[in-house]
Amino acid sequence: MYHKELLKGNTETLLLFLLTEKPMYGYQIVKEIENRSQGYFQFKEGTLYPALHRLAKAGWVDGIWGEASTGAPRRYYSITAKGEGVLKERLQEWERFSSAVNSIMLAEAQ
Amino acid sequence: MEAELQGYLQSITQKLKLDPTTNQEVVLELQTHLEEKVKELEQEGLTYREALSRAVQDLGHPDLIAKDMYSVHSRGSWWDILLATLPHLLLASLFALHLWTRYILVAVLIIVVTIVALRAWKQGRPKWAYTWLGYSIAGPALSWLLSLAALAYGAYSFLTTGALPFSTPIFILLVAYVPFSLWIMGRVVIKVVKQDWLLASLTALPFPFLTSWILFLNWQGGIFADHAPKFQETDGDRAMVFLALAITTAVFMKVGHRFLKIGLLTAATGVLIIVTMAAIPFSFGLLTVTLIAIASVAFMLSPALLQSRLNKPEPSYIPRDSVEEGTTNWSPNER
Repeated sequence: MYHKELLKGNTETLLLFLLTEKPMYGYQIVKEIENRSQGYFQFKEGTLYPALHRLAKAGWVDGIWGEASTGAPRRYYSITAKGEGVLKERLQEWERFSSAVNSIMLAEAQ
Repeated sequence: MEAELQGYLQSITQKLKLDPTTNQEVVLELQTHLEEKVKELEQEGLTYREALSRAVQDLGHPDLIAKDMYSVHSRGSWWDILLATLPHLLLASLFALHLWTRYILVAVLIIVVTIVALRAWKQGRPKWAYTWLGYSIAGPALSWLLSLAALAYGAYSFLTTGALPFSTPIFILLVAYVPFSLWIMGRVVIKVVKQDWLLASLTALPFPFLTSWILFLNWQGGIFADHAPKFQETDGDRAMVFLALAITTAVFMKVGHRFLKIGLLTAATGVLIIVTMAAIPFSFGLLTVTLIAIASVAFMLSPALLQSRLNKPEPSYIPRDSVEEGTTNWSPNER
């Protein structure tokens, strides 16, 4: 349950980060996150699309309809300049936050 | 099998309550997601039925997806809010500046509002269009009410004195106008309610206040009586009420949760109708005020009843009892 809470707070940042590499569609994002976290993050797919739409509404990503090789319509999401700015801030914040947490929780190990 | 996929998507469509374009895009995106996942699972050796069941289960219950999507898309931008509150603010300024007796100005404004509302409606129903729509059907609605009152008065006079209080052609015109204006209103209301009854309530927000105002004017000697100086003192109160309607509309559009929206419209209508009645220089009894406030709130919630009559019941194979926050437990096999 704890890791679900952690994921909830960081979904947007994770999505923005993934999209810096290349434009992706929803299902592709689900698989990427699962693969990269070695199955640790089992993304609840129903929450992915509202999250992507929230980012698009905020102007942090663009959702553009394209076509799959089969001809099926697909919506590809790509990060915008505004989104990149937000991501940069969030990554800095994450670095500060995680090093502060580590310096308390992992202090004994050092 | 295809029917089960369609059933799942259809139940999301019904619950989204967004404008047709957004609705269509959301559903298409989910559809391609499901189709792709099903195809992959089939390649892994699952039957179509098993694959669909898994894919749908992983995606989640239609209620949860629809709720999240509604919360994202039902919120208006600041631009939407500015445009949506404009008609309320316009009327508030007409009262504040005592300009509502300039009937030509008012007529021009109503025509402009109607044209804007119709154009917006045709161009994909933006979120701000509903308040404009409300004021553009206020004309037919209020004239319908007055015509009905005139007809009732005519019938009463005819029965008691044996003569009409106005000429026969006017009587015939009134008889024709009452169903005609009702037909116009009915068409608009049904179209809005089919998308979302709550938007119909937002559209109808000024009606209790406009009605109370027209009735007040009538009681004071009719719309065209010489009343400008006499009513100037109540103009300020009325301007405040319509300003409050603008604020209610703005908050309504910024809030994402449906229950908050419903609560807001209900509370604002109840409180403001009491304020409106307190501003009228006539002391109503507590019972009358309470009854009118309840009637106004019931009127604001009535589109919900209409929607449940208009929309067909949901497909029966969606389990209604297994909805739980944070779980994804829908499966087409759970019949």
